[in-house]
Amino acid sequence: MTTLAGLSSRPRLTERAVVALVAALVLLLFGLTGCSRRTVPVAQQGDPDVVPGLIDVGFEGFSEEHHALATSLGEVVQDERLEDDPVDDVDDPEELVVLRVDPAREAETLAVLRARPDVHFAEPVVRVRRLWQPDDPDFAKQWHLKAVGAPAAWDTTRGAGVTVAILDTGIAPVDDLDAERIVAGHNFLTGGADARDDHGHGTHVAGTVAQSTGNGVGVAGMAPLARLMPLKVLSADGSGTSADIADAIRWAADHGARVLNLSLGGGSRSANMANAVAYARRKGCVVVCAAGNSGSRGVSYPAAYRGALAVSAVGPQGRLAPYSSFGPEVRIAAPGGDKSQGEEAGVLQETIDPNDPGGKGVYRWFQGTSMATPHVAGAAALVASLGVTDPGAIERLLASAATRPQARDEEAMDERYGAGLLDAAGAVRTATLWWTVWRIALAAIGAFIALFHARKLGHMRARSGAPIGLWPALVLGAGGLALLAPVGVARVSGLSLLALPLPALPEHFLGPAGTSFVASIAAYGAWSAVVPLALALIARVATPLRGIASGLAFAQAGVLLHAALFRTVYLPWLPALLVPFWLLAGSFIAWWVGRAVLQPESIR
Amino acid sequence: MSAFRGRVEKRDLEGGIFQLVADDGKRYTLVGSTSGLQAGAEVEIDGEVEAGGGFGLGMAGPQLRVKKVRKV
Repeated sequence: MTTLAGLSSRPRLTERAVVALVAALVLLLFGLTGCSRRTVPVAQQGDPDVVPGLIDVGFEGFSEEHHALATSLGEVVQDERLEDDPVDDVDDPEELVVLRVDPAREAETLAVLRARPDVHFAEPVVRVRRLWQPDDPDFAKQWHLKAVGAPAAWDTTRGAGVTVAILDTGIAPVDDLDAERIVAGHNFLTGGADARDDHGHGTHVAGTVAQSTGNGVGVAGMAPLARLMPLKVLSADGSGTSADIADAIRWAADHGARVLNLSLGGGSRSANMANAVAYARRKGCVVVCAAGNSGSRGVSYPAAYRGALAVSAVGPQGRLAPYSSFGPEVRIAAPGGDKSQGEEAGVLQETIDPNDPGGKGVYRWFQGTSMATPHVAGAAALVASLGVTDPGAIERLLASAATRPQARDEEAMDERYGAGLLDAAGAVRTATLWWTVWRIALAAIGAFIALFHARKLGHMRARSGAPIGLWPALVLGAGGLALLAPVGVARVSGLSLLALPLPALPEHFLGPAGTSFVASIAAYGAWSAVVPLALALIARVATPLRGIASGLAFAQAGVLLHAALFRTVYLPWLPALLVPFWLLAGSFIAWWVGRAVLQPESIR
Repeated sequence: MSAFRGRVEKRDLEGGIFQLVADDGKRYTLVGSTSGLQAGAEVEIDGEVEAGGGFGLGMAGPQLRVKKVRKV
């Protein structure tokens, strides 16, 4: 009879509510994404966000006179009396009043208030901005970081856990680079481990990727918590050989770099270097290369190789810089500066004076496609830190988020800008908000089907609900907390991990899969149904955990299915084409485990 | 070793690179013994164009490895 009741049953209210919630989230994010396809305004970003006509006043002591004065000057929005100041430990009582006045009379009102001896302070109210603004004193001059949306991306991630190899003139240990984030490198000219910069170019490029940010010193970088791997392939005169560059590409791929930055190039093909780029791609690396500075059609090598991500350069207005090479191989454009518009239209980072390589760091505006490249490498590191490990997925994310310039001649635009201007914030938003909604939706659909199926076969009573804890476990297990990422959880140390899907956690701690046996095995285990299976066996004994185990299994099924559909995961040893099949198999097993937990007697 | 005659240019690219605009109109990025080069100077350079144009950070034309510079 239960079976007949199950056949005629309709989905329960809670399940319909979950499906409706997921659908609402999808629609909401469709809307959000639609509104977000634009470049970040550059000029307004660094300005304080003053609310016109709103004044904050602190009066000394309590008095009716204060209120009367405030009322005579404007509308009192808030009136609060403080017995003492708990922060400064001052015992003086203070009356805090927020006053709304005619914006045209704001300056005059401020002057009247400030002239009174019983006013501690009177100041315009400044809107608290959502974006984390670093306190690096010259950050305001870095138009190029704001143009690619770096500050908005930093609310979610700052690139922790990702290593970016800088194949260049080396990296000098300047003050505004965190020495602890510079990992062991290699000098391919001398054969030693000392890869210090004797030119200045490599240090500048490294700064764009990961300059210390929020440290009250100098300037900022795209992915400030990423690690830098210095690989010296260019000598003090800025030249190198294809053999050294090819060796360095392989070395970086074998030593844990996830992103390779090659702000260098030449005009001739080298089979050795082309093979090295292909090797790094197969090992899960994004190889970001400068398009070249010829100012004409013709992308230099290695940027022009298949598997490389060729970057052209734009100036502050987002137009192709006059020196930038272009061509069909260009995949994306980023700020490289255009100093024909003035010195400050260059890219500002800390470097060393080439005439005094051992001296103190200096802050310089450089221009070149070499400067555009590390913006993209930094953005790739930000995305990779969110658990997107397949290089193709990182490139597709950056391309899909890029802002395409308006143009009549589409082909000419493709050759100059590729997919468009880099938007790091957009890419990060997709990898967190969008993809989390996908994961939750896929997991919820799986759970819904399983519940329906269980009732239909009479394994559950038609009128009984999902086991306690199933839906919360499903949402959390599918990475629901990542939806909070844009609120700024990444600013809190450790909480940035919440934006990661659960299977991405082992690599965050053990290093990229493929660089060690343990990390590779852990990645295979994490991107499979092993964890849901283990939880299901536990829940078999601890039956109150059935709902949670089932929810987590459906969550894993959704996460794995999403990874298979969007091809987001790199796994070593398997050809890239087979990885989605591994994930699909894991997804099905996880779903089956979740379904079986709903019917505990089937797990024997 | 070949001799190249032309005018030295300092271009504000990649932090600053020296180039030779040769009398035949070709443009070379100068590497090697470039200390003492002055922008605008008419020079004759003994050196070799690197095989395939070479690799470097300039990316703005073939690299000419300078051995010796004479002002003319």
